Amino acid sequence: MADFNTSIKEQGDISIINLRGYLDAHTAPVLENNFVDLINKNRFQIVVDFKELAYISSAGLGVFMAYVEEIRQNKGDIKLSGMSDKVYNIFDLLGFPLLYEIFNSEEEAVKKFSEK
Amino acid sequence: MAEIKGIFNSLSKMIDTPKQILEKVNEILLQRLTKKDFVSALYGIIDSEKEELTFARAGHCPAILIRNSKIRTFKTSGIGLGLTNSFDFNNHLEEITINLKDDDTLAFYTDGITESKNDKLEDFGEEHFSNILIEHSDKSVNEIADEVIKEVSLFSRSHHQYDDITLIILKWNKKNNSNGV
Repeated sequence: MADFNTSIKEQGDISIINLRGYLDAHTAPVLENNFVDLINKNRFQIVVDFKELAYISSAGLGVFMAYVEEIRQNKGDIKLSGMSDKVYNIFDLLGFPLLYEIFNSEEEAVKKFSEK
Repeated sequence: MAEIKGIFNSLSKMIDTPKQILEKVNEILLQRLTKKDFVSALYGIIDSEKEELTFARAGHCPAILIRNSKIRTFKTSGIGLGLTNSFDFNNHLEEITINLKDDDTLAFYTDGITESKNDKLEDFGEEHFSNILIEHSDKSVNEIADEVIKEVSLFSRSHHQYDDITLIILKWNKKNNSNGV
């Protein structure tokens, strides 16, 4: 099974999760744990950057829905950035652009939080 | 899967339009599925008298029409079932009607086809799929389906197929008033 890992960096109140490798049903718990940790620390402004993500399966998409409601109830949001065309197409097919803000770069997503 | 089919089966006897059926299924699945789970679906109704196909797409692969060797892809607006509340889901769900003409070929499929991988982890892809449909569109529904499955199997022979594959090919022929799978 291909690898998947994440790293988190903090920029003020905003947390940025960088994804790397292959996100599918088997590797999704890694990202789930990231969301749980951030919520437990009351950090609700989250950018997920896909720049280094090679692949996402439709099952991997479910993780984003699991926590977004709680995050938005706490006046936060999950914003997505840096998707390749291939990854974007998978999100697009399921209608995710109607539910999430998706930016070309991590910087643009961070900036959007600051504009609030 | 059996539960989903059961829900569609029951609702199809009570509700007349694809949009309304999908809206109701979304409402039911929001209560039944965990937040992480969702279902994609395309629901269509063929009116043989009016020679029309009416459908809506809830996060599923687009519907494909091949007419006179030209392909049209219908990626109508719609969110996957169980992903969001009725307000957002219903507002974004688009229903369209296509007038059918003799010898039209329609294809409905799951992403197990287009996301099949070779040993270099390259996708089979939508273009490859479309080209096969165009090339064989003058053949019977079974022959077209066989060609697609043969090409997908060849392409992914050295890589394990993780996803399921569903493919439905229909042909419209007024004279026989029949369609096939």
